[in-house]
Amino acid sequence: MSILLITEAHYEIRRLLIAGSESAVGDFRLKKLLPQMRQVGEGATVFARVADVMEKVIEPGSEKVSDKLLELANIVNAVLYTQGQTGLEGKLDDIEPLELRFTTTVPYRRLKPVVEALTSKESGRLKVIREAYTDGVFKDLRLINPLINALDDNYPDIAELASDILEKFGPSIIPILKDNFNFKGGKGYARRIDIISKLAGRNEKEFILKAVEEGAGEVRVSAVRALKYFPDPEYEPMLLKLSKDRKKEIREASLFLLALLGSEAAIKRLSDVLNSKEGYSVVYPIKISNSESITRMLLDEAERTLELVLQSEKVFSLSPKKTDALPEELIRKFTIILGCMEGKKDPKIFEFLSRCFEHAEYLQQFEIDRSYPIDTEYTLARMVAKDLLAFETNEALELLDSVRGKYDNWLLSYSFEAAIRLKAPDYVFNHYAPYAENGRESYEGSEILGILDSYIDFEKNLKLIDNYAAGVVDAFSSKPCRENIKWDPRWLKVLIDLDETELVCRLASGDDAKCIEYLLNKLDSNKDFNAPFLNDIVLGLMQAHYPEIMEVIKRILDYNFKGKGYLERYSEGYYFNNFARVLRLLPSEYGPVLESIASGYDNEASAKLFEVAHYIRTKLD
Amino acid sequence: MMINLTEEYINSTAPNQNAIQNGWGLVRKHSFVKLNVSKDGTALFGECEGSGASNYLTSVDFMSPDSPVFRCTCPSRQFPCKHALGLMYAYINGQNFITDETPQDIVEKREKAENKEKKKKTGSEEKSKKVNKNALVKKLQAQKEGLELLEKITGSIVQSGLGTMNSKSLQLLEDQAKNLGNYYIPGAQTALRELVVLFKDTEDHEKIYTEAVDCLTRLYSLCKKGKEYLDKRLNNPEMSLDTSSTLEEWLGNAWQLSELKELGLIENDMELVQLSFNSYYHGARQELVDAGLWMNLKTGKVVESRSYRPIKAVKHIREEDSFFSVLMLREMFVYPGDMNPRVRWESMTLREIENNDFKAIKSHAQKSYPDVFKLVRNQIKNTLSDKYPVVLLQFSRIGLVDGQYVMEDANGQRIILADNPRGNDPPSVNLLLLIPREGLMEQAALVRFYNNMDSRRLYAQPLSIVTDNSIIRLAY
Repeated sequence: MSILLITEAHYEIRRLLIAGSESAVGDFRLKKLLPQMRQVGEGATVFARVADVMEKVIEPGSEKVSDKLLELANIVNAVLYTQGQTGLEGKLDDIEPLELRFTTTVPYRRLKPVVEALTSKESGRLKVIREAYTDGVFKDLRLINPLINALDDNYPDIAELASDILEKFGPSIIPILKDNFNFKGGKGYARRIDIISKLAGRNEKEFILKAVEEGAGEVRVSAVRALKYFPDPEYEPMLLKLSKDRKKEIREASLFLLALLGSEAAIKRLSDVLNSKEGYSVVYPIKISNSESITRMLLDEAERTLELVLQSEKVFSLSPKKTDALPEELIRKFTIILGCMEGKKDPKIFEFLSRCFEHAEYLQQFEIDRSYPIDTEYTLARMVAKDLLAFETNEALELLDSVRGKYDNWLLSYSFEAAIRLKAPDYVFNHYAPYAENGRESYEGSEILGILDSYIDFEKNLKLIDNYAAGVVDAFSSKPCRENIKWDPRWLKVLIDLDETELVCRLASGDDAKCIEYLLNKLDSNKDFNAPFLNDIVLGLMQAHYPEIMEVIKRILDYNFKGKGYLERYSEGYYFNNFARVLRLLPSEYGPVLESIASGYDNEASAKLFEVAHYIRTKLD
Repeated sequence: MMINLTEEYINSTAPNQNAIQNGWGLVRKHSFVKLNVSKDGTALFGECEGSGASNYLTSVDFMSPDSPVFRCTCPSRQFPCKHALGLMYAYINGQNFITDETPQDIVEKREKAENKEKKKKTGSEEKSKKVNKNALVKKLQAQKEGLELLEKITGSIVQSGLGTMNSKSLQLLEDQAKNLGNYYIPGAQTALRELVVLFKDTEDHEKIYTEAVDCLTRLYSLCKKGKEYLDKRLNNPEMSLDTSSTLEEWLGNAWQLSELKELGLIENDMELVQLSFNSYYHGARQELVDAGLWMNLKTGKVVESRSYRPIKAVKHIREEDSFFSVLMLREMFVYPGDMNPRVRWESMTLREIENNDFKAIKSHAQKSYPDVFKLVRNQIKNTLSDKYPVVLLQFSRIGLVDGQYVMEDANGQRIILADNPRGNDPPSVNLLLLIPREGLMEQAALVRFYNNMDSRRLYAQPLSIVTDNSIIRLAY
């Protein structure tokens, strides 16, 4: 009873301190509390004292009311500080034991830069976090909360890195991700769901369904996407409803799930959407689906569409200039259908594509709106060719190679790619090299060289891979991995004649003296650390096993270090660091040589060179 | 070999993490051209390549094992510099140190230091006793004026009401706080700044009004009690400084170690184990604070070491760190305080921690929760006391009650574990989900109590769990 009284007094005092002490004089509520306080005060002196001061607040007389109010606040606070409740009734449940073995042995000064990297907004954080990961610092418990905090980072690379690291802890990390979960939270909470569902899938069904129901925004999107780990026909009505949701990502996620379910109603919905303005949102779900019924639906739609498309072919063949024969919706629908077919291996699909290909010349007239949110080509004909290439059977590839030289070469790049995958190196060179003779200035040249750009890369051991998480990110170039393609050595001369420096570097071989000569010449105008081709040329020389590579490297370092303050010139040695990464790929026997070169310099960079030399010497080849 | 160096010891002398990394860098780069140890094994010395023309001569002198002297001819003003650290790292890294005569300059400097020590003991003690009485009175009067001014400022805040706080009034308060600097009461300045920081850090003032009221009571009490105390001292300037309360510290008088010694606030020959560490930014002081919580193995008392680093000088002051060995002190200075007084030391040695030490720590854990609650409440009811006392509690189980973390003693008495939203410790409660099973049963927990005025509850935030063979740190 008296506790409630003193609590009420505290509330009123707080109110008066907020409002200003003048309003305390004659305050109605304090006046009401006073007699009760006096009464309790008869049994307890501290309450009597409170009553005394309270009275002086209500009627201060000559004393300052602000002073009295403070005195009252002081004494009431003091009482309340002794009244804090401690216990809690109820069954004490155990905390689930985990498989994880965290340590808490990393000292604060070692942890601090990592914690800051995960929670602040400065630059250079990614590197700090990655290095800490490879050093094994993340076994420490104290980094968990900062890691979870980083899931919300504005910089997606950081958030994704944090996500990766958390995932590596395995399902044991789930309880802490679920702890204090905010279903209406932002991207950070959405990422938690991504991790939880990826690690536990079906085992966290209840939690994910709760998120679908109660979640908002990003959390809800992630939750719907997470249903893919346990698709169940009982979700069909819910998914059909979600496919009409206001939010685009929800609609797309639910279409994906419907494709997984592959029920009659699901397929009907997919076909409805395919025929609508949002048709592109079914492309991804249908593409990756293995369902035969979906393929059947797709082919039905395809046949119908093809028929409509070909209706105006007769008109076209009579007067080829007439290109506005097809309405936009039809082109869009056909593009979508072709998009759905990419990567499918069903023979009926191939049969359909071959038939389309027969009308290639006609289909080439129709340009596709490149602003579609799916991967497209310039024209319908090229789109068909794209699908044929993705089919990857010998038959498909032969078909593409066979149209080399036809149709004004507007399918040249596809023919070339097909030939690369199917034919022997000398065939490829004999039939396609001639097209490149005028270089990128000509249409054919740019098509050929464009394909070479995406296929030719350095040998595997010379690729610059990040050591983090066993080689995931190639920071220099994101070329798709095209190993196992052999190139006719005559390409090198063609590329040298065309002065295609990057390609020459990547194809460099020690057997070709002209190649070495070319690279060394190019080096003259590419000696600066920030020169466009420096790193490529050095890698090329390394690939060609150029015996005097270390002299070359010394010349480069001498050239760059001769001026004072070079590091300031190149924004904190960013470009030098890139060069150092190339040096790390040198074979280990060059370690001592690099060390002796490094000892000739006397600046911050030489420390880095020593590090690299040490790394080279001790790496396992 | 007299020198028993460990990596932890060397790290503990380093001023910051960079120095540690640079020190090791020198070892890896083989920058030391000479590595020597003295014949009697008390000193390491050597020559290191530098970025300048000549090499640097570095030495570490362990003549007094608990306060080594670091010397180097490099231009760095840090001690130990990276060269001295590198020298020590090279030593524990098993590199070859050739025995040689102790260099002349070390011998000379040792002599000089010895003479200085002798002089200190005989001659100049008299100086400190002769306090300038006039200057003291002037200072006390100025302090009193300052408190009267603070009283007016506080009264004015109360008159207008906390609800009228806006950026303009907060700026005025900041200016007033700055002005208080003329009155030798930095503690009072900080107390006023606490209020300003509280409002500045949170946009939704509704959330902090209760805390603001608390702040005001502190300002009120500081002025009242402070003025009383100053009047006493003005009447009797010879009176010795009050050690029964923390009033001196509230005023802002920094205790000198010599003063503490004179007043007998010193303990001898003890061993401390650090149970928890934290480093945080104190907005009102505008300083970084490095704080360690230590248990005295003999007495079982939990004490706090504190190091303040002003933001402007952060690069030049040593950054403290977590400590995992047993600290052995000949002399420990104890500041006037509450349950967890601040302590300081000038020199130390260390030894590795063993299972017996963990047992000793656990044996000092408080078993009766009602007794502890009583002690805590008794302390925090005083306005100027430390509101967040730290206790090592024994527990039978830690578990969940309706989703809340709860700690229970052998008699079923409970305390709710929660992060202190107004505290400086990093969030720790959810980490209980990740500690090994054995950490949640029959162990001891270092907890920091705090009282939530709005919910009228007393909570505890767990900082560490002590088991039979480890300390699980939830803070640092």
